[in-house]
Amino acid sequence: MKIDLLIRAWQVMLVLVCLAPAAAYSAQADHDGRAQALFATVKNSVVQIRTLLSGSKSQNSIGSGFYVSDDGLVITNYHVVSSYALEPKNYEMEYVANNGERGTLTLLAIDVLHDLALLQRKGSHLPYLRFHVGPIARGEKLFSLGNPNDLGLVIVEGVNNGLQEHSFYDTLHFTGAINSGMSGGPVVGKSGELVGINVATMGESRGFLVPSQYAHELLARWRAAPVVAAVLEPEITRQLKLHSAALVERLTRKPLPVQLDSGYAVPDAADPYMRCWANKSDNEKLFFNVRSYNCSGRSNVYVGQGINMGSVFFESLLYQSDKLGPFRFSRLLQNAYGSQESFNSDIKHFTKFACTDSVVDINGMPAKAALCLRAYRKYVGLYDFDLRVVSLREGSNALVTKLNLDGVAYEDGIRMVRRYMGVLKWND
Amino acid sequence: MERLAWIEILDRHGDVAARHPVHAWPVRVGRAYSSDLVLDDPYVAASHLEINQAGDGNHQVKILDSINGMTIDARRGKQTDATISGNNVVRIGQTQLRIRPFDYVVPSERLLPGNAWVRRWPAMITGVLALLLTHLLMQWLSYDRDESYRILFSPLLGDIPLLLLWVGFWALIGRVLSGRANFIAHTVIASMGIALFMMLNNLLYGYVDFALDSSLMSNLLSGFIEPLIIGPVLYYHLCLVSRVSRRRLGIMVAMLLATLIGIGLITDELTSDSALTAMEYSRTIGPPSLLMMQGKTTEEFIAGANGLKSKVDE
Repeated sequence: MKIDLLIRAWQVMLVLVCLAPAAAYSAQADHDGRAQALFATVKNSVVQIRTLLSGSKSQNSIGSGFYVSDDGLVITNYHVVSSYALEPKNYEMEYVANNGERGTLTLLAIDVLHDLALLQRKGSHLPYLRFHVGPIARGEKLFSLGNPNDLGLVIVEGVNNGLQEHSFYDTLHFTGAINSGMSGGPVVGKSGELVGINVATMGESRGFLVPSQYAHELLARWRAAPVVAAVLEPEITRQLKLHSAALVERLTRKPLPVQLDSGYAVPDAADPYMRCWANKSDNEKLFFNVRSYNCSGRSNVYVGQGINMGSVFFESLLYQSDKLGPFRFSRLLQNAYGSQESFNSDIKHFTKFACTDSVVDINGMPAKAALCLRAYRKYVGLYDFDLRVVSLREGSNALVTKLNLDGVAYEDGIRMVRRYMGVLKWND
Repeated sequence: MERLAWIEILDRHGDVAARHPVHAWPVRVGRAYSSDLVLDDPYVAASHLEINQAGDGNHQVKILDSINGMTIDARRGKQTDATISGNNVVRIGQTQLRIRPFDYVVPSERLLPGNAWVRRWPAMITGVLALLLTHLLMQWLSYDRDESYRILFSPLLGDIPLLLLWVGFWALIGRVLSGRANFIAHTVIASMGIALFMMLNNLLYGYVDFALDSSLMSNLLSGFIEPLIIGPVLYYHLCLVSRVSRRRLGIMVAMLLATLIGIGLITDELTSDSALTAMEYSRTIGPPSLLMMQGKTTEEFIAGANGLKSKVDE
């Protein structure tokens, strides 16, 4: 869960510049003067994008964006404008061009899964960026532009390190200092053509880019059907349901792999995008041993403040003890089975959990299982699932395992629950 | 002079407030100073009532010159003439009277409360030991690492000061109201009550639910278990400090608990939406050997999820 939270943290980090103190960013050495030349050609295509509280001139969040047509179509990250997208009555959007010119923006289309938004400003003959066509080599120099921490437009040199591993959607790993406020800014190659869009950072020069092809697709979709929706929730829900279906399809395409530990089958990474971590208790004072496995991957989609959807998490704990008798051993299992992580429980977004629990015979293994479900109020048809199972065999070994699914469609969730329970068993 | 009977004047609670000897019949009762028994009650006439002997230990009561008349045993309807026994109460104006002949048979002697087991040292030691043992049992259940100080210190730090505070409170009230602290008896009641509560609430109900694969005990009864134990504890504490009749105390405590349960149910209902963080399912896991029920199949379990969907879809 820690890893999962970290990923969530860095996705959100970029938006909240207004609150964060200015962080130092490293100046890149410009050996061949290419950055200087590029900056001069590209700078007028980049704008700062600000969301303001309605009726005030104070900014709520800032990010960057860039022109993709001469008549004012702008691409940025969805997360830069998510507060406006979800509450258009409470927020306004404006751009600030490099020459100081400002004006209002209209939201045309979004792609929450790739964190992109298409906006429109008024104007003509604007200097727009062209899309790069073809592959980019690993190790190729790239240049990222944006407004870090509201300090003015900067250009940052970095290196393309190919597609990020363990991510559900394609993301380029850019080794270069992307900072808060640069979200939505363009990343160009030596020729000045668009390669990607700044989206996130893990700090220490580990930046992430949305490949430009997704921005190209969003633009093409808009041109094919240019209709602006008054309310975006149904569109977001539609995209999240596609995500849910794609996610569970990938996780259930093949039989769920398992590892064997102390006779129990423990669910393992279901797809290359997932990875599992293992750990064991290391405290001599304990009267028991516990080995833990947890698996997750970057499949979560940022929807709005505190709302991330479409993630999957497995956790298994294997307890072993020769010192604790049956009563104390079962109390130990009870603590793990009954434990509850803290989670977002904002009544605005979620219903209360409803649960069912029962003694279950899973592939010949006696167990107790509880399944809890809650619905998203604004994204109708999407649910959070929480499944937990504890083995009830006599003896000194036991398994407690949990499956968490956030923001998936009901049928997809049930399919995953069935698949997960289907592989649990105990072998002599 | 020979005493023939006693006229007893009772207070609102039915206790004797004053007692007058009768040396000769008839006895005239009224506000006038010429009466045999003078009452200062403004609702009593100057010459209100005449009492005469009626044989078999009974007496005849007769209204003389009164508009208010009399009632007998809080029965409705005024009477002007009646024959009563030593257990009937006559009400004139706002005064209650009872007439008991000299040979009235009193109930047999009641055992001194000081002799009851609950007031003795062994009972107190048993109670406190029961509490400590229960606490140790809880501690032992979750004692899964080598930190022995946890077992030794926690009851001392937690339960004992709380118990002392609670018992001290009741002893003080008892001292003020009835002149007796009854420290030992209060300790016995409180420690036994807490021990029982802990046993039921933390162990028994959970294990019964586990064994039967139900959530009846922990969910359905959760609002009632506490009052069912707190009720009797409160009742016995009150009996010790108060001289109000036991029946009346019982009714008071029952009403108080009914109110508490009611308030609990209402607030549960009101806060059910904000209590979002809780996932409600049977959490107790016991040793597998306790389990008495056959497990469902995975498909039967998953079928139960359809009910959840309709619940959260509202």
